[in-house]
Amino acid sequence: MTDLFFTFLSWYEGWVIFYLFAISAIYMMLTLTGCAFLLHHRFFRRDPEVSRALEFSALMPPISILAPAYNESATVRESVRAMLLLRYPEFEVVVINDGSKDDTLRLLIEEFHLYKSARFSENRVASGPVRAIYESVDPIPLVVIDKPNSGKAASLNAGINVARYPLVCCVDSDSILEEDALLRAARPFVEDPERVIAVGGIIRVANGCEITAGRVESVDVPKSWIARFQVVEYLRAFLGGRVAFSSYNCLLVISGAFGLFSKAAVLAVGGYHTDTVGEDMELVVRLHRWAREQKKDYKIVFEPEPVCWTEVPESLRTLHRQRSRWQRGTIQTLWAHRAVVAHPHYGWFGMAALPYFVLFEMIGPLVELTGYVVTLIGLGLGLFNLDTALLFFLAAITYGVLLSVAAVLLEELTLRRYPKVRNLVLLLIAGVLESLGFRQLLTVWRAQAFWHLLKDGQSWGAMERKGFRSQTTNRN
Amino acid sequence: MGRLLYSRYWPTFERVLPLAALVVYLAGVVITAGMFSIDDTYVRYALACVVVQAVSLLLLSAGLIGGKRIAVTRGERRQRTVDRISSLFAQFSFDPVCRPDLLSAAREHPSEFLDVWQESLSRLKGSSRQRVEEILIETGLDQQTVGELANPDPGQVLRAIALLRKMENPPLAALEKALDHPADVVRMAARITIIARGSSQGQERILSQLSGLPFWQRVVLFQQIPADSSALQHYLTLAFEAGEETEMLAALEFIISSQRLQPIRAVKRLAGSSSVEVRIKFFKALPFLASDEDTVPILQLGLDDLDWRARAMAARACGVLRVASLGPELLRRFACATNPVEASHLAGALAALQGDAWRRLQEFTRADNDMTRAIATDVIEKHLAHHREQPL
Repeated sequence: MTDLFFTFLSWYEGWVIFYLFAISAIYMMLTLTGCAFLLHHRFFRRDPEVSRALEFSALMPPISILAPAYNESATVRESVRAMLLLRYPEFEVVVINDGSKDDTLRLLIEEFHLYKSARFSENRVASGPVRAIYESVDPIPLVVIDKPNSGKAASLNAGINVARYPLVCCVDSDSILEEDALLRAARPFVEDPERVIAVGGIIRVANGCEITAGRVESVDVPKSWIARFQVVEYLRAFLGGRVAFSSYNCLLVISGAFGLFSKAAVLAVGGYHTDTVGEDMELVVRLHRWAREQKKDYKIVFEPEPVCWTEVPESLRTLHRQRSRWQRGTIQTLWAHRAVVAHPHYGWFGMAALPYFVLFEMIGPLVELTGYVVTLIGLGLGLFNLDTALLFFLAAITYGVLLSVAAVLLEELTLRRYPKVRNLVLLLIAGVLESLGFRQLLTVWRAQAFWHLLKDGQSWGAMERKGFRSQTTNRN
Repeated sequence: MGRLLYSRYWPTFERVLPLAALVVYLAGVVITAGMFSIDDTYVRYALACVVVQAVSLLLLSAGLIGGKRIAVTRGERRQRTVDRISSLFAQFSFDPVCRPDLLSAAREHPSEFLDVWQESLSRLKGSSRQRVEEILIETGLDQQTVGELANPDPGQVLRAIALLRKMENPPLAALEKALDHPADVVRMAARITIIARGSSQGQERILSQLSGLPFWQRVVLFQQIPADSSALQHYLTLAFEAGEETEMLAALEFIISSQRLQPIRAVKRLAGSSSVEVRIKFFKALPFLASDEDTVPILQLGLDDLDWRARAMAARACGVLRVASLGPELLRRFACATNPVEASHLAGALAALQGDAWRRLQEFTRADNDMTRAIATDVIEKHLAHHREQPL
């Protein structure tokens, strides 16, 4: 029996090592694919005349920006003002006040001179009751929906019901879109109007940046190490993973902080599902599934240039809640669409992207965590040699660091948002330190998500916002 | 690199690169493992992995930081030069006394000079602009830039086109040659320049290809073409006379994009086009078509269309053109409309017609049908608050 147990431990340990190297190799392939795509993309989008022409064309599809807000009184005025100043021929901003307990609604009413409007809306996707719709007496394209608290997905659905335009842009009301973000995000819809049904933009970390009047004035690395680690993480995820998945038309995640969708496609799949905490991923997976089942020639695209700046958690408590929620969302989505996983009818989406997410994103944390536990047991029982275990750990760590450095290199080769040498040095250090504790902590939290999912499925957790205005003053 | 990026081999390269890198990595691990004399194969390969990764890491980090430092230093030096040349240009735009200094700066720093020159032309007008434009000819950099149009690297050609398009009289013959460049981005840049600044023949050549271009390229070109271009009038006339569906669609897109009145004859047959896309765009563009035909029967055709999108656009056109005689028809249709978009356009048109139509629209705020009542209320409220049309 003991022999069998020892054999199992050795076999499992070997399997975990293989798994970790396989995942690292896949990440590296994704990063390199992303690199090639980004270089090409950068060269093909370099004529400023094209952007200028699109900015003033009446043929650009109008956009409804949907921004759900829950207790966002610290940032909501500035964010909405920044949204209203976006460069795009025709758009409207729809803020959905999701039963805020603070004075978010009052601030909006006072700041933008809102009145209770009789705006017509259809109940085409499930959104729950709406208390009132407000519009501005000023000539600004702003609509505010006031509704009892029912979650982000239901709020977005309420926004979709009220939206007038053929494209809907779902954003977080506490995030900041760059001036030309809509223009850049809408470009794939103009370049391939028949096929493109959704576009995701890049999310960048706003902590540490100088922000004035809802605009990022200068980019810098955050002061907190937790936020710095997240900068590296975001670069790795967006410039590596998402770009690569997009180039094979199997992008599964468009961040809830910034995504542009064809309203017709979203309505066709029934809008956001309200029974998941990962509504952004779930919608994209459903869009893929629907389009493939309808045998539509379609594209879901990641665009690296439209930027949305967001404040990331700087406390471990908030980060824990966020990551647990993300992981629960991933598990719920993959479970809900398990019938499609490895189904040849669904092409790259079913045969590559979904199995990748199941094997590496969903159960990855469990495998990694059990690997650590098995190593400790093996070491305790004298089954494994400490030097050998450390060597394998070091190999895994250096691979992880290599990926982080590759992501920073990718940023520098293509988009170059960080202007100083100091910024890059700090990001490189963060890339190294991130692998020595932070990543393992995230693994534990993500593994815990399975347990949390069973315990209290849909709790979102609150985000502690400092507010962008205070960030600027703090700097000086 | 630029040539590879724009070449037809790039997609293959893009696919092969990750695999090639993985093969290089594995080869590195195997070769490194061969250098160790450790009996345990797993340990030997793990150690090789650590070494290969650590070396790659160090090389990447050193390259990244070194490259950034060089780029930042160069950027600062370049910015200083640009600032110096900018101030020379600023002086030169109102006083030519610093001409020798500018010519010498152009000889020493041609790239920075061209950047500032390009920027200056975007800001200046009149005699100052002319003076700045002439100085390029004096430096001889114009000929050098024209020579770049034949460069096999598309990146260099794009830069040359971007510079030349700023000139009052760009070298059109050279630019027209770029229309045959193998890279699509270069052809597009050349099209943008020629359609905006080129000869009638050049513009006609591009307009004749318009319907074959992707939609986004048409959108961009529509924004560039001067409204008084004779080539444009000729193109629009031909497009509508030829009756070719794709040509008509492109021409209608142009009219919608330009938002200006265009004198077009015999438009009624477009209302009966077999293509629903043509009919929708035709009714959307109708308010901008200055035709001598009676619009009432045309709009009637639109209101009777089988496709609700065409009906909605026809209703909208009724409001924009203030066709009061169709008021009763619009009211009748609004009362029984089932599509909310169509109903909104009908209500918007009724509000725009004013008079009796406006009064009758107000009665719908007491209608039994929820949708009709809500849309009527919404449109009336917006009309009273802003006196503006509904979104298209």
